[in-house]
Amino acid sequence: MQKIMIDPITRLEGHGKITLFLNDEGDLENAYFQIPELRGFEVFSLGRPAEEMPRITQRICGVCPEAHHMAATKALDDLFHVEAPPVAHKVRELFYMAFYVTDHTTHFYALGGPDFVVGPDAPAAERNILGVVAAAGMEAGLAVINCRKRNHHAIKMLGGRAIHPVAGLPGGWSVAVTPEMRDELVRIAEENVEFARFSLQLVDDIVLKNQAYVDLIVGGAYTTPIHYMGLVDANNHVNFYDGKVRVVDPDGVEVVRYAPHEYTQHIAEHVEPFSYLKFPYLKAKGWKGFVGGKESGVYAATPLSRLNAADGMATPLAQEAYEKFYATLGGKPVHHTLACHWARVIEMMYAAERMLELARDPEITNPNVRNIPTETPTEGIGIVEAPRGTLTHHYATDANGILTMVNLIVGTTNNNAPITMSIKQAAQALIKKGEVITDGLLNKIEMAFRSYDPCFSCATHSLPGQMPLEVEVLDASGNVLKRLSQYVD
Amino acid sequence: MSAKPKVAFFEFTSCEGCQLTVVDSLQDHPELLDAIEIVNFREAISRRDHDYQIAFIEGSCSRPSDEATLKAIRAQAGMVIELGACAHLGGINTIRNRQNLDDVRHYVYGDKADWYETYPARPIHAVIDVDAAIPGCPIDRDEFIMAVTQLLQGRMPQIPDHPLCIECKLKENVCVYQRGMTCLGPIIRAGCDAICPTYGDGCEGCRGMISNPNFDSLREVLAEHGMSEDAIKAKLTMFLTYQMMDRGGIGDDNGATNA
Amino acid sequence: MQIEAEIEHVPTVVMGVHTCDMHAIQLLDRVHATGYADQHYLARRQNTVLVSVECLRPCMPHSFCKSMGTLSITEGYDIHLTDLGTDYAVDIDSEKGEAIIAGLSALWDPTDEDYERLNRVMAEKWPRFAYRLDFDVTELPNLMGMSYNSSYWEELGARCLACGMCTKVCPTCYCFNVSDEVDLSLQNGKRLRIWDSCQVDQFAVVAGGHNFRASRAARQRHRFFRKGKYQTEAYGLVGCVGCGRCAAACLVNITPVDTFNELYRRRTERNHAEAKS
Repeated sequence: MQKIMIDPITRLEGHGKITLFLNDEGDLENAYFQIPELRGFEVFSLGRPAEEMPRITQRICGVCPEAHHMAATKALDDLFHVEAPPVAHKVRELFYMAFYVTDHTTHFYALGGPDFVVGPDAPAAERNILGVVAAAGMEAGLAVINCRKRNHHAIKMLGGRAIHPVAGLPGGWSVAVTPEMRDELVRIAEENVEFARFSLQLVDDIVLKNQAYVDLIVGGAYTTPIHYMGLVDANNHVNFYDGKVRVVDPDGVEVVRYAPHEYTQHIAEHVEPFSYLKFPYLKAKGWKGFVGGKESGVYAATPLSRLNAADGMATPLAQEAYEKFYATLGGKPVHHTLACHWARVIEMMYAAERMLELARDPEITNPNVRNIPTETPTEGIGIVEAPRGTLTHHYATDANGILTMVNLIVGTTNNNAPITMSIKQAAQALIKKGEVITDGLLNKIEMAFRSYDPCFSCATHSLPGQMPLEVEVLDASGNVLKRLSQYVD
Repeated sequence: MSAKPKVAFFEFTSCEGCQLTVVDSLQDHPELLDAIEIVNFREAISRRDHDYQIAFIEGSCSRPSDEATLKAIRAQAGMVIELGACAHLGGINTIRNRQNLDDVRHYVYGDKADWYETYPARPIHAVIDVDAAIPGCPIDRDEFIMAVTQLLQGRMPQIPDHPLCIECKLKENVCVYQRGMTCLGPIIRAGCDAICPTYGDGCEGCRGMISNPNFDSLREVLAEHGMSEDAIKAKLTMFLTYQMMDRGGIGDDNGATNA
Repeated sequence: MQIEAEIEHVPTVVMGVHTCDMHAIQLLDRVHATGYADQHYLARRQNTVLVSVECLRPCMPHSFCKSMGTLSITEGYDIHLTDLGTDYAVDIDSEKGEAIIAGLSALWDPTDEDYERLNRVMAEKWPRFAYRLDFDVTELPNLMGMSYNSSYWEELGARCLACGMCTKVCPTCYCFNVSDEVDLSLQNGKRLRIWDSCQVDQFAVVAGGHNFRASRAARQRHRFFRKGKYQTEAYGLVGCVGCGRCAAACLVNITPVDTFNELYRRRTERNHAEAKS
């Protein structure tokens, strides 16, 4: 194999690089997309007190800090062997649902969703929030801003701050809900449900009433049958805050359903000689390469995966939308990655309904939101669904609670293999016998992985729909045949 | 300051939360877009102009090759302003400076470590001169609007240089120390509305130290309140590693430096 | 350009004011009415009813009201309550107070027996409080004047965090800053009065950049001089009312009692040394 020099995409630095390898015949052999983590959270945390982790790990991302905050908080519950009081779990989940509504809204309307709403073949200049507004009306633009505003207010009330909250504690939460807060939260949740209705209607009007578009989603070059992962509750309904991790195969049959503690028994990481990146896969099926199908351990964790992995949604309007989704797209599971954006809107409805449920729960104003830990810490695992996919925090400490091991499997990491496969698939049609067709190559590659909703798509994806990206094509001897870039300084 | 100055936003090693806060400030202050002309803001708009008067920079510098970009920004902008703790202090990114950098690189990248250039993370003013900083992790959106307003008035941003304790007292918070915990508040800049003490635990220092802090006295206070040496070091290095190392180290004996 | 003063004064009753705080309010009343009258303070003050209480036991270990002469109050309140066990003795010192109690059926004119009870309660309370200063409070301004160059200030400055908590909890502190806040249009704004503190680094910076009190030692000295000397000499009322809040708040245990006593001890020592030589 050729040696390659890969310049990393870092969502930290804001540009991306993919390297495409050609074989001796000049056809596409492999594609690698790099996501380095130059800050080293897993290693610099060692030697620090574990209780800091909710505040430290959330600085991984300014768009979804609540996800890390929550995973870390749950990992601390486990680490300190303390059970939070029932109302603390409700307050945490209430907080988390407000975050989900705002995050899914932002992503659907401004980041990934425009591909879906405006159409994947539309020019990049239209695949952004302004294009969505053009397609859906000014109301949509204002509604997005107001959605973020009211939910930020809720998050701030419950967690101290909208970006980088501070309330997560081992054994509970530092904020109790007063009756005044509760009344405000009910009002906010009700508006969220209305907005989710509006968003589902938008999907209906723009997409579903257009058969050509539906065909494009169902047919087309964006389909990879793989395994799907998501958190489910006791009824196998989607839950973002807690539950068991369930994985189904490309036919929708359950393969595993494990508690957070058991994740190392079911997930392993494959290493490639070309990349420092690890590629998680299902032990039950084993690593068979960058291929899809029932026999390959490759899986994805995305909103689409969550819907595929579950048997339904726990709230009525979301369930209705869920059924319509599968009816329209030809049954479960859906493999077409573009459908991920639609799945996100269904999840937005569930988050809104669940938030309302919790805000109306008579228990929610119980002030007993904390149990102080008394046991000696050892090891802890916390799993939540981040908007991008299943998020795992795993810590071990000494007897004083000082970290000796940290392993973070972020949403994106789960999808390393499928992303690589998608890029390859997108590029394959455009590279033949050493001839690289440049028109549309960057577009197609960009959209291929963005539909997996990887974390970096948020950070590197500028709102107007133009991702800074660099692509290098190397021949069999490692010579650079072509270098393409967009929006790179 | 021209009537509607051209403003650019840049990010280096960061989580982009500060820039997202700027976007969110539009929720309450849509008139921001009438007051300034944003010509470059990768996270938010497609326009990429290189003629700007004010540059806001989020993130720390953690690669040698970033220095050239920073110098180019400095050459272009009349005013360069650090946006957020990573740019202002180095912040969370600098925690890894405490460890041997080679070890860190190999831990993260394995035998591919040499492909990825990196060096100790540092605040922006360690590389170029800056004119002002808006502190915090993330920045406070109202403080950002206030700073922009002051720039438009021809003034420097007026960031508080008094300790958090004043803010806590004005909010009538019971002092964190009286609740059995510890807090860096006495030597940290106010201006965040004392979020962390109000919502559960002591200040962790994300806004940076006041000018002329009585650092030694605070260390003693932390020790008197039962914190071990290691716990004190951890608390002081969550956001302030670069500053601590500048002061002459925090007792790490692996030869780590900021250089 | 139009500027309008916004004078906020919501009718307020403050219940249960300790006598030390009553003395503090008296000082504030005098400060804000002397010279350039503070219309904001005075409007609020006029709209405030003060119901004070007789302190019968020390409220916290840090207080030293007896030493500062603030353990009792004879005037300035609207209503003053003394707990006699089964009833309260109600003292009125203003028309506002009269208006509140007018027609209240729960009140009666005190009998001789009632006066006896009151006297007994008052007599019993004094021994419960300790004198904590080693000298009489009337000597305090003089003592301060003679301690300006004491090295003790440097010792305080070495410990002091300049966190400002002392000034924020002190009932006789009133230093403020004035800030102009303008909105993004640069057409509208507000002029605000905001709390300040002589303990913070930037307090004594003037235009041009000179800082008159750049060291913590100088700032601590300034605070104690204000409380022990300047306010007393300017307004005829004691500047520190012995409430003890600053002592309770201070993370490095700088307290007025320790400071005043230490300064007294050093001066006494100096006097003895001079007498001998």
